[in-house]
Amino acid sequence: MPRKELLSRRFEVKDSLEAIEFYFQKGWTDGLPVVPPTEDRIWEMLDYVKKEPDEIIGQIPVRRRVITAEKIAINAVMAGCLPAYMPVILAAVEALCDPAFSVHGPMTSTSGMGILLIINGPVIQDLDINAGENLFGPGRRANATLGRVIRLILMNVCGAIPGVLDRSVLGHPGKYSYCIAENESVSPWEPLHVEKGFPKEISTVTVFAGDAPHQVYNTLSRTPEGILTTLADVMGNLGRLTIHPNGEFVVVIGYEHMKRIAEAGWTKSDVRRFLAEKARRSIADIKRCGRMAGDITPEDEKTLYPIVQNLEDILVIAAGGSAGSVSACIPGWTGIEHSRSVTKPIIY
Amino acid sequence: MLDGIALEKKGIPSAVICTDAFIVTGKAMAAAHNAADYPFIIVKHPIASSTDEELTEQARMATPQVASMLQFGKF
Repeated sequence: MPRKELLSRRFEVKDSLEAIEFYFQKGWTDGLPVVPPTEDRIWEMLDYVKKEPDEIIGQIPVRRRVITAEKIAINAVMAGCLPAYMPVILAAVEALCDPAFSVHGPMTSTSGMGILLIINGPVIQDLDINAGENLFGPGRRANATLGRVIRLILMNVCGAIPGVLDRSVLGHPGKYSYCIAENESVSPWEPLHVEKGFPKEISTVTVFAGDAPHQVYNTLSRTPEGILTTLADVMGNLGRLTIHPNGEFVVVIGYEHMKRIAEAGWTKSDVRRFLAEKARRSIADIKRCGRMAGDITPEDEKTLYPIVQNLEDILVIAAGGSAGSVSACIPGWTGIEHSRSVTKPIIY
Repeated sequence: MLDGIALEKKGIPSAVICTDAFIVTGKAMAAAHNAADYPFIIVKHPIASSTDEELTEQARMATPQVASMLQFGKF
């Protein structure tokens, strides 16, 4: 069957270096050089997932934007992805365009959220996605380019241009790239996708509109209660985006903490229950910083306001390097009525 | 912005109020919905940390424009 034509405009340039500069001049990058998307490279991406250029993968009606396979392929080349990453990218775009995720809000908001991708299942091994050392940091092609392609798609296809339709006051480094995997090979717990109802042998991507990771250190405690009390304290900080208890959190339990917690017989459900119980602030604290109106009463000092109401709104992930007692919490964007995490299967 | 445009297209007179910090963003969203020239009322940023008195003053200033827009429509 003859191929369809690519629909995007062609630009003639002398060589790759000139192409890279051309993309900078056009404002089609995240500020870093891109791989020039030649026709051959774009077709390699499309052929890997057997997609025609004009196939619609997702839509953002509120912005009247349509995301086609061709536009995804172009940005995948630009980000430095391998064709084998395309199934993950397609699933991530489907998740972004799910009405429950409602990407328009977090990608426009002054709060500067990133789009965190959490990968689960056999695809982690197959694509060499980092779930261990330097989890959020540099060094692994799959993590770096999968996170990057999502940001490039948001900028180049969905209009998330800083100062226009991305109004982040500060943003955070995860807006360049924000992709992690759960360390299923060492975790004694059910992985995230299984908790969400997928079979273990299926691979998934979860999208989460998240703040930067807040690292939580506790090298001395040997108990789940001690470790998780420090985590709950960070979750409950008064400077998080919303003080109302209707938002999600991603909690990344680092390897040493995971071992201590699991050795005590605690499951992810136990972790969630403890965090939901402990992550609270007094009404007086909230009033003192002016984030709740009214005078402080003696009762306010004793009344504890929850950070999380529904246990399932704490997504617990086991990941990170093997040495060092570090975990992290990532507050989500406002409340789940505006945006909640979405998990989609990766078909490959 | 979109609520105003959508209501207006249904024939319901609307007046959109936007703070000056969001003019560019408001215009970009209006353009995305083929309403690049959609007029809106501009008030000072910020809103969230304004006092009741400051907000009342902003509302007093904006009210004649709101009335005018609701009366004369835009499409």
